[in-house]
Amino acid sequence: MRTRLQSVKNTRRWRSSGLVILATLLLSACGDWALIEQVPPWERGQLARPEMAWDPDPMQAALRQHIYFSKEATAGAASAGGGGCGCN
Amino acid sequence: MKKTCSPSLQALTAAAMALPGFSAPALADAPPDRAELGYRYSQYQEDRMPQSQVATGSQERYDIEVHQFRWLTPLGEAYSLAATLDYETMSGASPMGVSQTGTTPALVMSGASIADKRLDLNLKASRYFAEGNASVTGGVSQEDDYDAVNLGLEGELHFNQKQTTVLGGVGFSSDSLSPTQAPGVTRPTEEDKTTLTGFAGVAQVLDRVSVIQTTVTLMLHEGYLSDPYRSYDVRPDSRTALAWNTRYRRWLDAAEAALHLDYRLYGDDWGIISHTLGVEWHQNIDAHLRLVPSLRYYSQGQADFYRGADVPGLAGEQSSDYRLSPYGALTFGLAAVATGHNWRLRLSGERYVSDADLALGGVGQENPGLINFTLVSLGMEYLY
Repeated sequence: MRTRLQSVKNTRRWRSSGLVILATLLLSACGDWALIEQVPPWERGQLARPEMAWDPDPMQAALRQHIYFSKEATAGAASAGGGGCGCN
Repeated sequence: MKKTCSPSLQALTAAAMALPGFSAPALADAPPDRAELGYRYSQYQEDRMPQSQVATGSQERYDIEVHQFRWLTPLGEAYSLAATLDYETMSGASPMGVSQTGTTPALVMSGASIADKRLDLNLKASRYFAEGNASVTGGVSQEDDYDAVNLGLEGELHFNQKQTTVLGGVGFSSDSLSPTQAPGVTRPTEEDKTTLTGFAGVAQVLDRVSVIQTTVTLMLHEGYLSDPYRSYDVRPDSRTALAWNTRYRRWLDAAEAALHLDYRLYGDDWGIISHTLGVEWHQNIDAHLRLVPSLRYYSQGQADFYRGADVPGLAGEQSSDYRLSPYGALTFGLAAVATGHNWRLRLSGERYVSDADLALGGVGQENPGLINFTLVSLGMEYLY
């Protein structure tokens, strides 16, 4: 019974999380979102700085991702590659 | 009034956008202008377990040495190739179960004689277009008791004068397990599992100093998903998981620093929900030195079939793995990056502590197998 209740609670949490994700994606895809300014390419110099990259240190990012994948229950990133275990 | 800019300023901007390692959305798509060769040495060390938390076996946990090599090179005007090779040597002991004597659970540990090595090779070939890029990825990973092969496709498309980027990809991994056998212990001999991954998302330049990216990743695992080295570990043979990642980068002119904020919400049909929040501050000290303090917070709930201690003879699913238990964790990090004309030197240290008290929500009984670890790395990159 406890497992069934837990399962119902998880399903509800899943649904609410899904709605939040959907709403955010729709907002993100909307070019007229008030938080977005049109920035011409020649004003994007600061965005091109190495420390502004999504992963400024790719080897450190890969190592961290592998450690957390092995030592925690959950994973998932915007990447299609990777594999292996190293799980003990 | 329409803004204009001089050809020389445009050329300067284009050069800035082609900086190696930069893959932010909405900017010119071209291979890196220089090749890059990198090496990184890391030592990963888990804390020794206190005697009070160990019922039998070793108090030692895992120590791992990692050698990482990375090569990135442009190929002509529109292609690039990235190759990474990781070599790890592992030694130590790992939990085989949790026993309950009285009210306190304690770990049943293996002996301190486990030793393994892992070799992991990954390749990524990319093609750059006027309004996007596409990549093929592939890799193999080999351990004494675990082999994996992965393939993937991913790409980006730019819109809205390259201010908006849509990204996505699919991946497939096929893994084979052949657990090391031990006298007197029954373990499976050969098992397989497969993983299908798909992700899609949007990246957006918000203004001249900030960008945001949000992606959803779906993971489908099928096959043998239990831990063959645990005495009583029976998990479902499929797992469907969804992760929502959001990353934000902001440049602060006054501080000469970049702020990184990352958040991930994860849920799966094993009943686990987790939250991960990462903060990094990339502080430029001068033109050649940058310091990067970082903090990561992680909290996960338990799997539906998680048990605080093993129940021998129980029919159905059960696992006492600390990785499926409810807990929270903090990682404190500090890195220094020194940069020259054609080289970079990186030194970093991280400390990870996990505890039931750090979890969001209350935890009845902490799993005795939670780990704390220290990670120290030294890396260098040569650009040519």
